Amino acid sequence: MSDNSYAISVEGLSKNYGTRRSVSALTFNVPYGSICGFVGPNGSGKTTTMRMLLSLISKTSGEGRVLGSAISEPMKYLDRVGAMIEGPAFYPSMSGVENLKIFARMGGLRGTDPNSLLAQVGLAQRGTSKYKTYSLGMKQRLGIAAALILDPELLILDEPTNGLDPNGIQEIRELITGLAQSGRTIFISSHLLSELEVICDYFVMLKAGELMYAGFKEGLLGGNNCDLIAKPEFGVDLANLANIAALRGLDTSIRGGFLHIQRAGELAAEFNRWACDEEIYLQSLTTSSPSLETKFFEMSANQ
Amino acid sequence: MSKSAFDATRGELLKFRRLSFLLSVFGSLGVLTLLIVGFAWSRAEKHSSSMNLTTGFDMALFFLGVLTLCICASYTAQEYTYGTLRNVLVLTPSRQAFLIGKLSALSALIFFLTLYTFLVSSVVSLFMSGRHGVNLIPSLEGKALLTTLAHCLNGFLGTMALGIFGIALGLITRSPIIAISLGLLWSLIIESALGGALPRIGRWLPTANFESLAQSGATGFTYIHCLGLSAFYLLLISLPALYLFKQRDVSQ
Repeated sequence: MSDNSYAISVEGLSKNYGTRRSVSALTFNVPYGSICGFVGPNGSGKTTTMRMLLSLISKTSGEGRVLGSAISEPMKYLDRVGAMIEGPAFYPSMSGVENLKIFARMGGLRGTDPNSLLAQVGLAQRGTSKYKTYSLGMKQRLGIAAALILDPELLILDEPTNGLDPNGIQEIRELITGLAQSGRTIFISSHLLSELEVICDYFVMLKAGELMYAGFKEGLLGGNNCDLIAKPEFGVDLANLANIAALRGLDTSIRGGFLHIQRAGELAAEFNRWACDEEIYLQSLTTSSPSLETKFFEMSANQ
Repeated sequence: MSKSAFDATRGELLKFRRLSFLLSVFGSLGVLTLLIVGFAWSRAEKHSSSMNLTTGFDMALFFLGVLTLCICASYTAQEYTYGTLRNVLVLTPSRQAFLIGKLSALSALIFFLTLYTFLVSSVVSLFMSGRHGVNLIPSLEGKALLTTLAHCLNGFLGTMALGIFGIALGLITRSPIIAISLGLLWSLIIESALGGALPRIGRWLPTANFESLAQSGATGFTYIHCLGLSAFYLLLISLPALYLFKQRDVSQ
């Protein structure tokens, strides 16, 4: 069974649309307090999974728990969850402030100050403008502001940086990091893998509705996966340096005057010593982790 | 009413608190009521006994019904087309509460629209009646006043029935344009055609029956008959609408 000690916990969660299986027996956990990146190509089932977690659509089979309560009982947890699913959605002929007031009322909150929420997402100047006049980036910000109305423990954000310019992306990144620092759990999907790599400490990866990976960032990108990149003081020593590594059973390649030793990140100090013993001195020695993007494509190809 | 339904009602009511919405709805309703009632009186003969305080109101109810059907269908279906239903259902997890909230808020709006139509039509009637030598003052005294107010209440019930019809269409079609088109097509064209072709069933049809209810009954149809038949028709369309709303995935 799913575990109560996680903010999100699903086991065997599936969703079929007719004969088409959109999400296939997903099993993963998201720890409390983490910023979890939910990664996968278009149509991989990310939004469907998020909708099931929010009880907007019914599951076909499997179990799920959000903040300790079963997803079949949304009344028990949705008042502690904020969400923006598949883009922002508001009443176009009303202003940002009016929209937030309506949603706050519906959430049973009377003292909510829409202006402070708008200020939090950098939209204070346009709060009284009609929603239909907003740019895509402004709509995204308003969507995040609406997700914060209930001051939630868990934020579920689907593509929150979609349509934002680089400055906007950075602001949202800082906002999300700040929200996580106050103890919230954030479950976020995005196509901008480089962005997720910066802010997330936990990842759930999907492909075609199936789970590829669920776990901490270090397990995915760090540890033994890390490559070692060395450059000798003199170029003529490059081949000898490669031999030193090869003699110890390491895979090497020479690219652009650098020796790349695969999955040898933890051997940096030792490799430096081996080189010194052979009187080869290194001009540089660095480690290189595969990016989330590289890892994602690598895992996709292997599936 | 549960707290979440009460909150949903308050949220829905906020949507109506917009000057542009109120001006367009009450403005157009006021102008049309004035024209309809004024026209009815202008065609009436001097000292006509067929004209009373509610004659104009009964005529204006037709336009109020059409307006109500459109507003209710649109306000319900647009939650799907705007995608706001997913926001709302995260904040108000009970779909039942959301629906009660929407129905309560729209009922309040329909009540004020009916009252407003009644007031405008009464003022116009009182103004025009003097020129036609008809004394309407007795309609505002004693038992006659109670009858007049009961007529206004029935006007509200008949309009409310059309509103529920609109809400149900909005829930079933999930598109304001389709819901409004279907509602108007049925009320204005199909029922008229059926009523024309088969006069004996004309008054048994839903919209005609709602109209009879609004007019406190019709020839050959008692008020209770209209009330019972209206309830039956509303149940007939509301049950599948409620089932679909409860069971359907919110994937838009």
